[in-house]
Amino acid sequence: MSSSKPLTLSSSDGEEILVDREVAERSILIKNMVGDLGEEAMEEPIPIPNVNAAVLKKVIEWCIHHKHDPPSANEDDSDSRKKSTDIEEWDQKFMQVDQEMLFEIILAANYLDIKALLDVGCKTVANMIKGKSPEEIRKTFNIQNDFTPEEEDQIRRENEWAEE
Amino acid sequence: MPGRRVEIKRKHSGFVVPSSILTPAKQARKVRQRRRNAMPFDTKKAKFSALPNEILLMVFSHLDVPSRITLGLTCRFFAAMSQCVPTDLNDKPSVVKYHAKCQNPPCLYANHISDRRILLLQIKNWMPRGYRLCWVCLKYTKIGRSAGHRWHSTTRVRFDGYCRLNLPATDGLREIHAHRDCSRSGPDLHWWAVANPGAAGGFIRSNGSVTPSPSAHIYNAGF
Repeated sequence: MSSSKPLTLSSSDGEEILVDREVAERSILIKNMVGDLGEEAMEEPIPIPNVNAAVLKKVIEWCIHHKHDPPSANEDDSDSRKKSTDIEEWDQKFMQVDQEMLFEIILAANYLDIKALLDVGCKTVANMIKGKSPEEIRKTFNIQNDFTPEEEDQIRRENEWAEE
Repeated sequence: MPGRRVEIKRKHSGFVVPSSILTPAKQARKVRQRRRNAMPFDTKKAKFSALPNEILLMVFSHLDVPSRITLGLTCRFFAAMSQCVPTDLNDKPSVVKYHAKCQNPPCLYANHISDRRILLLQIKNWMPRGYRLCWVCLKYTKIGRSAGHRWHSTTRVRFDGYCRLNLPATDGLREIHAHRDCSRSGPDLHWWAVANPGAAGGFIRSNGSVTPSPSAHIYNAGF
């Protein structure tokens, strides 16, 4: 069957990765590319210029695990907020990577248009923030505090969080 | 008779960063341009704040309101970004989910402390030293003899076991306080908290599982 014919993806660092078409088409970018250019064009490696091989392999690993998932529906904002802490156990383990890799996976999911993976990535980052104090968040993400003490005081007063 | 209750009127319903603190519009254009030109993202220097705005806004959308505000308090950039997302705080009870890891749904839900209280607990370490939160009027106030406030406290409002909220801000919270002007005594504060929606919570205090509204953010008890 032609739909099971593998595709070759070429990463930004020049590595070629063979992947089942069904798996690759979790990416809307690749799916549209295949649809637009036709079967014959797919004999050539598909360049993925913004994603390196290590990240691309991780993304493919996620796509293989989720290849039978139904296509993601357009959830409205309130619905997605309600489910914000819910990440499948396999996805939680998959996202247990260093921050650099996590951000790269998120960017790759955004570029390749894999909404479900992008959601999981953003939820993982959100869970790293939830319930923490500003200082803890700064430590987690190496954010520099560029407020002056006077400005912080101004924010406290404006929001009526403190009184003398 | 319970102690005097003060009707609280607030200037803003959400998180407000004074415009004098935010980057002026002229400079903001330059910052935006610099960020746009910096794309594609330099993966060698992966940094949270360097992610594209649309992704950062997605992260914001997955956060509860108190965490959106605490993220906004980390630096000017996130302060400006927090002004683009809803940050309205309310004093209504939040919803916490129990049995989240249970293999056999349905989960159980209970009401817990309000988003405003959660936020004020989260920013405890961000407040200047020597300030304490009044659980009734919801303001941090200077402690010490010179400050002129006297306090009542109670350890009977619980945040552990079936009253757990699974947030770092409530882990280890053993005692709540109130001004003497706001509460008559420690036991009075306890009963006030139990009787007032959003001032105490957890499954142990619930009359049964509540049905969360579709728009409610669901906190997780962690078991």
